Amino acid sequence: MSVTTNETPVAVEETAAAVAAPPPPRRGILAGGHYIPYAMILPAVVALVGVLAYPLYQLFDLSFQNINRYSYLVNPALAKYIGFEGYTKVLGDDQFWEVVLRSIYFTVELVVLSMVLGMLFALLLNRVSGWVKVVCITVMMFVWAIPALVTGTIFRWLFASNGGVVDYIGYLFTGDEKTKHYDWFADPTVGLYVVGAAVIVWGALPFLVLGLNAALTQVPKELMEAAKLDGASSLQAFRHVVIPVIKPFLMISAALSFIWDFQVFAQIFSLRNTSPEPGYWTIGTYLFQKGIVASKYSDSSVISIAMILLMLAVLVFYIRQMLKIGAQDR
Amino acid sequence: MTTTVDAPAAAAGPKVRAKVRTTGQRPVMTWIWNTLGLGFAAVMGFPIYWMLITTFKTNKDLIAKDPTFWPQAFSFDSYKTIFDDKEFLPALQNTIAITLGSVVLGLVVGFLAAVAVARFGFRGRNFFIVTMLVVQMVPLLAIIGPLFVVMNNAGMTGTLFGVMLAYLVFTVPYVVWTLRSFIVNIPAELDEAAMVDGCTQWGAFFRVILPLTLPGLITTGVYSWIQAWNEFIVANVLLSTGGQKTSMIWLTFYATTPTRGADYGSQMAGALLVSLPVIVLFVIFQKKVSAGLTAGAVKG
Amino acid sequence: MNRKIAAVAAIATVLVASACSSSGSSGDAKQATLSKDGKGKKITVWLMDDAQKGWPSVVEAAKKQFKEETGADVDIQWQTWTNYTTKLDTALLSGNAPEVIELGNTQTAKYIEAGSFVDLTGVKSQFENSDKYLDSLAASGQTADGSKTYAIPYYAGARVLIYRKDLFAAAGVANPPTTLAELKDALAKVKAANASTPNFSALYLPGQNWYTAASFGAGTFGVKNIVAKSDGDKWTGTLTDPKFVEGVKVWNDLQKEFSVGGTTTDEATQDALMAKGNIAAIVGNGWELGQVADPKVGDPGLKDKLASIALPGAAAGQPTPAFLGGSDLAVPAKSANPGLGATFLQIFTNTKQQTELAKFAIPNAKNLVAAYKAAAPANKATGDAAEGQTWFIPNSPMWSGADETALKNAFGAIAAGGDPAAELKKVEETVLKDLNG
Repeated sequence: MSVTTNETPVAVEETAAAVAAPPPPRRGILAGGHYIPYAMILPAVVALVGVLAYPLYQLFDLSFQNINRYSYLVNPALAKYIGFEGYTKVLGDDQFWEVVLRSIYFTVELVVLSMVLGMLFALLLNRVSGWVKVVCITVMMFVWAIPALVTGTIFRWLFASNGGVVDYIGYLFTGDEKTKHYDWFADPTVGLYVVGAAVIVWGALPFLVLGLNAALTQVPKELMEAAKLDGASSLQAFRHVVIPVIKPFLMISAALSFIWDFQVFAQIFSLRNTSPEPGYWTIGTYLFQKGIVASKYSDSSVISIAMILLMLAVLVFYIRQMLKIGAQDR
Repeated sequence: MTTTVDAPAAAAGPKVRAKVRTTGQRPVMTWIWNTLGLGFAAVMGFPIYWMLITTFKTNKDLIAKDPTFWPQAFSFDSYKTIFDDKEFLPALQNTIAITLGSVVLGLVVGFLAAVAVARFGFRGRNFFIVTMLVVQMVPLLAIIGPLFVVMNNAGMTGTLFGVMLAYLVFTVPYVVWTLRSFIVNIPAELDEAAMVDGCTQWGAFFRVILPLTLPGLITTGVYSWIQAWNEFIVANVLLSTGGQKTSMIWLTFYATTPTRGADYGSQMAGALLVSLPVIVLFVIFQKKVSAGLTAGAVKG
Repeated sequence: MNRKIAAVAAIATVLVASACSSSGSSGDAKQATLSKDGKGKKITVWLMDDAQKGWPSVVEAAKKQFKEETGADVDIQWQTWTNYTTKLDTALLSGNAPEVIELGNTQTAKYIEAGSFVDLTGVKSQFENSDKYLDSLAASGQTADGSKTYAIPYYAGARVLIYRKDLFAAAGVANPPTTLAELKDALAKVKAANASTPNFSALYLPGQNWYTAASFGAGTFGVKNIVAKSDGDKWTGTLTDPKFVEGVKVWNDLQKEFSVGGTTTDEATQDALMAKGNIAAIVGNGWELGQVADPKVGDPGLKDKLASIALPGAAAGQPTPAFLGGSDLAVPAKSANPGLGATFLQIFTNTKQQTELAKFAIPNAKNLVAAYKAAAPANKATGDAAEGQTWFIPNSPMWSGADETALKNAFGAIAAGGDPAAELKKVEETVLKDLNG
């Protein structure tokens, strides 16, 4: 419920800003003509509204009904509106909050790991020889291009406790027959926070490394040289020259990573033979197990909306920052 | 660790986006960095390597007690299965059509909107930006039903165009957010300078902003491309009534069923073959990007 | 560009329309008739790729006969099981559903309740062998009280004991075990004889293979009302019934004694593992025998060393009841030509087609199982299992994959050392919450 209270200020403030702000003077290309920005966002708006308006309306509508079996969906006459009862049911479930907490820990781990590693490797790519860079990029393209449908299977093999190659490599190092059959999934804490995280970070890195590397190309070389001439250390130059330039992309990719990692589902689902134990449930899996697979359409909607509000609550300060990017007062 | 000017970067225009490249570093350091880079590639690439050798392994390796890192004998059976499959090419064609369409549409639509939010302050701008973010938070599985209803009522289920349109919803918000961060880094003075030089407004737009956003366009384009290429859930549901398949749907035909075991070798081989065009394309584009960068995109 | 705009506009208009209209169909479903009037028409049939790769000739023959009798063409659209439920959910809601669909027998109840299929009760008697359908399979196509039929059995699958004849013989087990006691003796001998083989399982029982675990429960509890029973109104659990728990303990003991590893996995990898040579027996589907000896993914050297028998039970001649999985066929209520769909169903499941199908899978009727058993020696065991006592999940529209996941996890937890009674109690609560809405 704190969720809702956290959420409201955004909307209020945002409308207030939108109403209060007089159209600031435009600079750059296309200056002049009030209709121009609207014309430019029109195609995006039409596409999104056309495809998404009804599904989103349904999402809200369902969340206030009791459509928790397929026959109610087929025969709407059987369903009825129950107000916030669906919300009290979902939010009153202890397991829901347990899952939310786990999702938060897991997401923090994933975002920090993938952002830090992504940044380090993006910088590394600028220091290696050309051919090494090509090798790295090719490998990352493979990682990125292989369908998720298949990566789940591969990681299940790699970490299998019977004939899995990770255990076998462990055995080659330790020489202990037991490591050959170490079960990575027996303890959900290990299974989720080690194996699950490895799969997800592995899959996320190509996007982050390549994206950050592209962003780094925007750092003006003169600035770096000037910083060096001023006697700045590499670290200082990085903090004061590189970071400010790539900050927009950094913030956006961090926000997107957060959104993707928070609702992660497919990888965990596949890793656990399509039936993840409750110890592996983060919010995406919870949504699937408690709502979608059981045809509980209303419960699914409530969980989805709760999930979106939770993400917004986390991102609320962040969004304010983000809105400033590209605003004319920069 | 000194930086040297390594490219005859844009003599005419301001040199805004030269790389942070440090080619003049000491050889020892290059060695260290290269080793690190190769180590990184090795770790990242291992699962892919494992997948690759699975497609060549014969039963000798598969029934060995311990995993084998190099096939004892090579077999091309898995690839033969794939090439003999009549559905392979039609499915790939569908995938290519859907992907091309949604990437091109997504980039055009997204780029326009990104320029709007990066260059203009307008009423509803904040609302638009936040909506673009919220849209990405909506769990796909929870709205797939109503999405089907919309498309079905519009007569677009079972058509490639319907799938293409549905993908826009997932690529456009991303393109808007990401491209915006690239566009704001292009100083507004640049567009003005170009206009002073006699370019028209649209000329300035195409000669200045577009080339400078190229790295961003490539990044978001590749992202959209891969999303569309590898998408399964939406395509599977939306195409259900037409009997058409995408490559991802086709790949599930090699999975376990109640009456036979999975053919993992062929599934992996199929996945690799299907992924190959994506990888090749990116390598081509990658060259274009660096070429564009060093030649200096700003010629006006 | 114009086409795109037109399409987008079309969506927007439809949005408004669809938001206002609601489907008017109510619970009572359409009665089917058998139509032969198909000249110039085409029907769409969704079949799983099991048929495409397993018995395409049966499908072709049915198409041909259907064309001869009705004049209509058949468009077979091959489907896969991945995400099939979502596909069915949406397709059955829409106005252009196929004329015939195949679906798993654990998926039927919710669509029957929702009135998504036409009522076949009236025409069922005109379907060949309809009075001899395999019990559990027939029940999955009916309402809970058995009064109405909405789906017709297509084919079945049953799990059996697949074992290494050579390893059993080498350990001094001459004849295949006929009772559980004999099985335990035999396994003990096999285990002792292979004590030096690392990671050896005399009987590999992965923890999450809940169908097998529950079969042992059915062995002591009986095959009716497994997991839960209904008084027409409310479901009560049977997982904690002492008799059921007793059977689960038998499974758990076998596992502790003879199975190494696999507590956190299901049965998907067992064939590949058995092909590696350190597993003497598994409980699996009939076709898995071929998979273990497959020249590409298995060890063809094992071809003549493998045999299968119905999983022994408490007494000779009374095997441990198998879970009867399989597929059903139904005619969606929203298809354009339900009458032609029903006729195709009639032709596709007639004696001729099913006898041909019996070469590849267990046919839908008891009188045809003999043909299946005669088709290959390895079929005898699965045929026996299907003919014997079999059990099925609760016939409830509220049953879903979520319950199967919960059960898989519960048996996995028992395999990992959890107390059977306590774990079963937990999962019973979860499942009942679902079943009772």
